Amino acid sequence: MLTRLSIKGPTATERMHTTLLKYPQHSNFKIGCSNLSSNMSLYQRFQNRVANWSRRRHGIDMEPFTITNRRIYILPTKLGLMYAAIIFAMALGGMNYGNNLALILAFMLGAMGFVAMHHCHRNLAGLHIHTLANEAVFAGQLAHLQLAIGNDSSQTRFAIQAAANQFASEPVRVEVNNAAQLSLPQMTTKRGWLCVDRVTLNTNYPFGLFHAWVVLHLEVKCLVYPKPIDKRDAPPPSPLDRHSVHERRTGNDEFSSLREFHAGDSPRHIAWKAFARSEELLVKQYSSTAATAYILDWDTLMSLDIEMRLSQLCRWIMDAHQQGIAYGIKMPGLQTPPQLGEAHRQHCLSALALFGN
Amino acid sequence: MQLTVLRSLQIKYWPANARELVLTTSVVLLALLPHLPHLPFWIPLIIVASLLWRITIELHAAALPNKWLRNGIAVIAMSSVLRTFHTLNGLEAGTALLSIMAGIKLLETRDHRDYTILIFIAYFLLFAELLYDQSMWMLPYLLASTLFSTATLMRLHDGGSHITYRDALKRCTQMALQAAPLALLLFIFFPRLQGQFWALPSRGGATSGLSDEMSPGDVSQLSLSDDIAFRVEFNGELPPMNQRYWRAVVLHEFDGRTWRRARMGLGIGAVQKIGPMFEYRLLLEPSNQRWIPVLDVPLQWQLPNSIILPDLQLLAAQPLSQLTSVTVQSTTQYRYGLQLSNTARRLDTQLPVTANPRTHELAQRMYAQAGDDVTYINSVLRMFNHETFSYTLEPAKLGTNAVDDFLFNTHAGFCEHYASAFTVLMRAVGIPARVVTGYQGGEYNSLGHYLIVRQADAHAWSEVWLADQGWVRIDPTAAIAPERVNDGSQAALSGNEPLARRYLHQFAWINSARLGWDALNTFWKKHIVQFDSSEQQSLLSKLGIDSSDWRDLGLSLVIAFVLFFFGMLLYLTWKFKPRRVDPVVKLYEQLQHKLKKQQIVRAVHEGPNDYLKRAAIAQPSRATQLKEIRDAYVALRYGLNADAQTMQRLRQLVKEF
Amino acid sequence: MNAPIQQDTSSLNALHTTIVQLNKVILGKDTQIRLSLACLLARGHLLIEDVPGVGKTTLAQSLAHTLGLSYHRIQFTSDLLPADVIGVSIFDRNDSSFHFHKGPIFAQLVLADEVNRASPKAQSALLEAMEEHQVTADAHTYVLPAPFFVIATQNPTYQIGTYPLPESQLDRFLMRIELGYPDATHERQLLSGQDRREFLHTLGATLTLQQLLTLQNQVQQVHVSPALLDYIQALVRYTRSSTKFVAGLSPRAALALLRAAQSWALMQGHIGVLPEDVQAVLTAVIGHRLVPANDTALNKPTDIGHYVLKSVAVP
Repeated sequence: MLTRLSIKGPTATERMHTTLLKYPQHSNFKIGCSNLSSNMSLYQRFQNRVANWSRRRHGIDMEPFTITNRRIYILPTKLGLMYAAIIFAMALGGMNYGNNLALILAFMLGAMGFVAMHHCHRNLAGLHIHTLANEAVFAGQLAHLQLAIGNDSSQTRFAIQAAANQFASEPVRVEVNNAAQLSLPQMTTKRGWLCVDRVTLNTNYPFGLFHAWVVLHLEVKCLVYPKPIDKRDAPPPSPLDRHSVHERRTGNDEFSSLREFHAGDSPRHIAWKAFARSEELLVKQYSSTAATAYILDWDTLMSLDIEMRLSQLCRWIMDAHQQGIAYGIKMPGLQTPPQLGEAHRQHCLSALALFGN
Repeated sequence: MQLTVLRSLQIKYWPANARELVLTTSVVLLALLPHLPHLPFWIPLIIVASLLWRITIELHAAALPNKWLRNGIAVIAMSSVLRTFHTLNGLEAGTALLSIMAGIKLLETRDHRDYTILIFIAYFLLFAELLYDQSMWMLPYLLASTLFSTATLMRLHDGGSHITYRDALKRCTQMALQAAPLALLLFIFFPRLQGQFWALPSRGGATSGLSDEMSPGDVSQLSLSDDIAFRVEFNGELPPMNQRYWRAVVLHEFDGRTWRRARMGLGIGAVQKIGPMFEYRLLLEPSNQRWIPVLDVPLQWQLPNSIILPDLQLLAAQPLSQLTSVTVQSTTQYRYGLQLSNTARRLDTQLPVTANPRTHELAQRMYAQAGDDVTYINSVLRMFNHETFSYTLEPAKLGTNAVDDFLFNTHAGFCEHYASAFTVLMRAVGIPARVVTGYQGGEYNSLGHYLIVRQADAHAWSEVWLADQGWVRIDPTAAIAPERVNDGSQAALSGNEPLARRYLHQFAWINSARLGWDALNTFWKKHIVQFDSSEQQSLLSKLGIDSSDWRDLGLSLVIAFVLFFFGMLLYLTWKFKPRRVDPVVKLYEQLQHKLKKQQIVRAVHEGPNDYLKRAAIAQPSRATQLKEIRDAYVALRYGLNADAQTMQRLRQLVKEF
Repeated sequence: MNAPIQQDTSSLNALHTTIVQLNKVILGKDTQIRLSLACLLARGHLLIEDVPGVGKTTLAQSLAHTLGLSYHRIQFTSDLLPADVIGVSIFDRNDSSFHFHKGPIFAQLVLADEVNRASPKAQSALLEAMEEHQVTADAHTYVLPAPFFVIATQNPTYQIGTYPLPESQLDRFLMRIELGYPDATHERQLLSGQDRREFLHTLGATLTLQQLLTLQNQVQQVHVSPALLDYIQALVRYTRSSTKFVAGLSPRAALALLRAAQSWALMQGHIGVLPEDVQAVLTAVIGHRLVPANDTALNKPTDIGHYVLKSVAVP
């Protein structure tokens, strides 16, 4: 049986690869971008400086945050500089040869660039941003932080992209009087809360000549569960036999049906009353939720260190959940009776994620 | 295989990359199109070949050629350019290089940056085309292809937000309209140079119009052409029709058939003006010749580095390879060359000894009868007028002794025959004489108030030197066909001009449409193409700006920029202004904000009913409150008859929540 | 302000009784039953696509029964001719003239079973009648009864021996639904209970013709607020701008979506159309009208509905 992680594994790395290449939109200048924050380009370093300065100036933003003009920074991109150089050359040539039509071309392109700068700036102005609930992930997977972007102006906004820590979302388009959802991938390395306190929202619309960005000082949080250890290394959890479940939860167990007796069935489960009536040996069956259950015990993992224990517990929880077998947890600070269901799973995994905090 | 065909047919199913490739390629091809006539044939072939190669690569999902192969192709192409043009500098070679670059770039474009660079190359190709051609139709072409390429640029950088091409075109048009005022201001205020930093490498273009020699048949050949030689705008009175002699080339040397310019220098004589002066501006079409046709005798002119020869030919420093405008002052009544040096006299009485013996004989006989120079000239003109001479566009071929042939056999010729025969008759009796070619007349365009002089108006006449008058213009054509001089070339040849042209002139409306179009063209040339520093000065002085001062001009530019910047800011703020927000929506947002603190976040696609039901389940203690809010909100937002009371209630509920 | 349109609660109550009745016959398919009724009330035609044996025919029959409509079933086969659908003119020797014998299409509820097994010719005879609510034969026009409701069933197109309905014709159906396999509980109930078709005959008509017509009129009067129109426009615009689809939704599709949502809102007793009403009918209405571009993972109509729904914000 495939686990959740092993399904997600390759796609996650794949996605990471593509998103990395996508940052920022004029991705292809960033050849050396594949290693993370250690090797930042001058441009990114500059952006970082601006972000720090902006944080000192503006503090933490309230939600929903509306982008004001003074929060928007704008700079030409490399293509923009190339464009300017071309126009400069054209204007020079046109001036030298007294060729007025060439000058018209140069001026028209130049003015278009100038107008494009305004449009690039405006493309961000007035958007409303608020954070949405984020789905928890396992350490090592990509977390996807959700941002909603509302546009109540009378113009559609294009190619709006969120970026943080070298990762960027797919650009989206925000229609008039509508909202769009941005999904910003983030690398997760360790369990606990993944806190991103600085997200930039940027755009290269309309021509990729200018790059406008806003630094948002929002508290974006995503819960990261421990990384489950590899399935092969996982010893089976200690099962509780039917008997002990039955003992512990007297009367609560759901009786489901009777079946024929097979050699080896525990005599405790023989329906004697039925036998008395029909002289036929029948065995009581209980619904699957209670048929077997695990107690996942912290203390059985004495040989491992804390993180490995958490990873082991995480693996057990996932397997049990997938197999539909009830499980309970016994660990410092948490003791739950065996249960099933999404809510239970989240509860247990959150406890693992925040263990020791 | 079938799949491939299908994919190529259904563009919609192409990968996004291919669509961008198609768009960018068409932009480049559009920019390349006007260059085709002046590119060597193999360059379009290279481009088409690399395009086909690229298409094959796309269809078969094959790999792009590697770097070595590409560089190899580039080196071969570049050396071919070098072999064709013997330089990599210059307009033709530059254009060829640029075109090849675009072609090779097609083989390596992978990402948006490459596509963008292709578009930048297309911009440059457009620019190069403008150095070749500045005619009026270039403007719409320029605007259309700029728009097209800019829309493609927008598509390339839409970041996956799927701007349709039509939408991109619409948006770019809007942006172009917004940019137009700034472009106009820049055009007006941008400083223009008096000369050039570096000269445009000359292009060996074919010459047009009059050449600097004259054989029988040259001018009549020219008079079939409707091409425009130049336009003249007079500042004040126009000279009468029969005074409009535009002198261009003065021919001295004669070999019995052909007249040529003098190879030796001449003494310089002073010009004495005795009549009114005319001031006018010439707008000369490129002829690739140096001479400039001027009205009779030029007194003053404004053209850097031009020279005037002693026989009053005005020459530009360089062959006129582009539209040129010159302001000149001339007079049609003058005295010139009262003193004639011996060298000059020898030059202008020189005749080949053996050629045209019968002409010599005739001249001697007639001069003996006349007795003096003036009587002799008049008797020659009378001979042209009275005898069986005729004026025709299609004269018979003349033999080696061309003048003899004309005077005694054919009796039919065009202006150059008469001018040539007349001059020979003068020289034969020792009167200094020379042939002048140029233009005569011109069509007045009453719509644009200027004169159009065409190649058809090309003319040849004589000048003779008389002891007490100096050089005097004698036009023998006026003797045989006075209407040529008085009413223009069309009137003189009304019998045998080409049918189409005759037909054209019959309808007044066609004629006025033709003149209107020409007026438009002239306006374009005068105010756009020839908007130079002096034009700029006169325009700006009307606005009260002294453009000769660079600081003034710079300041105006800065002010224009600042004004535009803030204008744009205001305009866009107005355009992007938020729609009026419904108070109900505001309350709903407040509620969402409050619920969010309890970790109940609305997904963007979640409707109010679902969302608030979910909230009620998550917060059972406030379920009734939430239900009431839900009912009120739904009634207000989606119901028909929501009253103020419900609104009040909702406001209260949300506040209390 | 005028008083709100008088809700005829008796017809609405009768409608709910009908839903309860139908649920007794077709087990565990409440959503599909409601969608079929919504389709009927919106005066649209219904296309049911599923594997044989999941109760498509039973649904159509029970609808006819409980609504008290005249009912004909046309089994589409590969040799079916248009005349078998619309009727045929027969020469009467007594008065030496042709008499038109009406075909099975002259009924208030027509079940066109396995419509994709017939030739395109027969299919188009049906589709034309659906569109125009009348039949033309021998230069005579015969008006079809009102209400006129076609339920067509279709086997999945990957089955052999089918002529799939052309994409352009598919949007004549207001909705397309799938029945799907019953879940375990209901299957058990189905196996243990009596024959559903027998049970069907014990049901009486729970809705009069008059009530049905009233409800159909009421559907058009369900209030549509500007905010809702914004939402529908946003949905439609999204399908047009997204590259996931070959072509976006047509204006006719947008109108169909609105009608279906109105109908749903009426059944839910909503004060006006809510975004949830649109969302409830979205998959059924747009699933068969959008063709996904081939590079996407959207190949099932339900996926398309969900994808569009998730991608567009409720204003």
